[in-house]
Amino acid sequence: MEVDHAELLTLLERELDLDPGDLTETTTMAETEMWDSLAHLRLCMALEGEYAVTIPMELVGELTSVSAIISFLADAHE
Amino acid sequence: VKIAIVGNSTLDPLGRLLRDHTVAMLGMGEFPTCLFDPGSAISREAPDALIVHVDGTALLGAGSGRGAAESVLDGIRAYAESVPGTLVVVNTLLQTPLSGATIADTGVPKSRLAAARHWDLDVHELASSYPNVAVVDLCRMLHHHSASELLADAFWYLGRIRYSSAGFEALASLYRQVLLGHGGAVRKVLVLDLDNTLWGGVIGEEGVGGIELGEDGIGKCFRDFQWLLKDLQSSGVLLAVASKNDTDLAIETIDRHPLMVLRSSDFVSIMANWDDKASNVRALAADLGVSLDSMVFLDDNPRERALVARELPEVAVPDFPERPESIPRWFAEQVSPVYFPRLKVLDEDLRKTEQYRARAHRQKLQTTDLEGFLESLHIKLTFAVDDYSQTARLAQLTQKTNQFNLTTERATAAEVTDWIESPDHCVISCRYEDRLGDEGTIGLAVIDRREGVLRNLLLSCRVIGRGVEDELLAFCLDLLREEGHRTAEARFVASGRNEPASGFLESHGFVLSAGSDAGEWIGKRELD
Repeated sequence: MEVDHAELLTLLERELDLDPGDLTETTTMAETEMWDSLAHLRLCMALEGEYAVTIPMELVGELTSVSAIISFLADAHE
Repeated sequence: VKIAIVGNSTLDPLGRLLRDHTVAMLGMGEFPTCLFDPGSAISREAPDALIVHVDGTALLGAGSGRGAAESVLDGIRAYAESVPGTLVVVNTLLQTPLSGATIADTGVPKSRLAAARHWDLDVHELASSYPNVAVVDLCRMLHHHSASELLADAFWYLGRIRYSSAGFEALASLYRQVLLGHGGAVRKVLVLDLDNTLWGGVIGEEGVGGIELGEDGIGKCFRDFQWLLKDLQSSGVLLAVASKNDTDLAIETIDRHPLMVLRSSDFVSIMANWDDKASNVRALAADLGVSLDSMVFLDDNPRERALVARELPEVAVPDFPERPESIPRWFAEQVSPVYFPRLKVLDEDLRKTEQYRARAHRQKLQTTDLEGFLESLHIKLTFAVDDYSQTARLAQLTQKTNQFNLTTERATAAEVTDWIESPDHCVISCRYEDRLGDEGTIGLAVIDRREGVLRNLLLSCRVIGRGVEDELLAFCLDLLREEGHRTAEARFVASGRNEPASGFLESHGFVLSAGSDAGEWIGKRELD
């Protein structure tokens, strides 16, 4: 699936209560204070809703960076 | 509105969706103990509303502790009693808890199905026992979504999150309706068309016997719709008719058709004429003394809807279903809960239609001579002192009364209870009846019998100008006299809206002097 990176970053920033521009394609969960474990679940739910994908339970814990999310979404609909 | 949210699942996404209010989230770990704990944040800081959101499977499903439901119910009871100023909103269960037993899981008392149904009944029971407990029915979430769209099993196991994004959206809009109902921003009057709205067909063409209204087929759709309207009317909403019809024919059909559910006594007004409907609706608002933004207009004809929507933008004009079979569900799911969300129905609400009809009638009588009019009414006032059963109504009066209100001091049910319980204070309620109808409790006064002070006196605008205020004051002064006071003191605080009450104290012998606050006056008089 073709993922619009700017759109994705906006969605992530909204779910994490960050300001526009706070996230980049290389940001990781570990370096982002607002990206805690609860926020992470929320964010995965939002991805499921927005991109009509199902994230398998065991993958939820691996999508811990913007780049991991981008490649997951790109693979999801191939 | 200040809201707190607590429950036995992760509700953080719900709190985020309600962020236009002030939201405090309590952790799952604090539930249900925080309900019992007088030191907990929700007890100390008493929010306007506490959402207790209970997940049925977590509470009653396999592996859950026995007696968990009872302890939650006990907690709600304890909290409702100790924090009477907070509205507690508790839910029925969305789903039957998962059960590993066979389909025939019905054996009482072990059945999870039975336990879930029990919970639903128990919360309704709580709501009828406590004026500050209300029930929100989660089944309403299923109106627009299937259960599988609403729930998120993976996230349940990952983080005790029960709902999907769509689920939380649906949940938030449900709670929004509830909070709206609590704030009083609800509509009061539903204006209805007749032909193809209350029945199928056109009486002017088909005649009374030719319309579709019955126990089968299309006629049953309309009859069921009328039953739902009757429900709404019984909860205190006023119904009116605006129809392009001959008046006599319309009334004859309403009162004579054997299968009509609604009769002319169920409507505050039947406007069957050939004037345009916008003018009719505007005139009705003036007659009833309600604002246009408290009205909803239902009509099957898109042209009439467009006209009313354009001429009277404050009136809500929902679309009307194309198909008769869609009308009852559409009304129950998309009209009634959206425009008339009501959490509590008070005794006064049950008599609304009668009261407004009587009021319109009084308005007509009043145009002749005032004294003769008052005499002809045979007014009967009943005063009660410190009557607990009136608490909710008295609080409502302090919140809603603006015109004849000496101090415009608002009070919650809890504060009214405090006054009643306090040995120094007396709460006097006044009930009004006349030959045209029973208005219920319409006046309130609070006196400090130790200090000899009339703290407040107020009267619903429905009965201003009939001498009721004089009788109520006389009753209060008598009480102070009985306490041995030789002088009485009273306050008037100008609010900008209570002009009708401004000369009241002086006309009863009080001498006013300016108080310490702007607009505040202290009145004193002798008690002979």
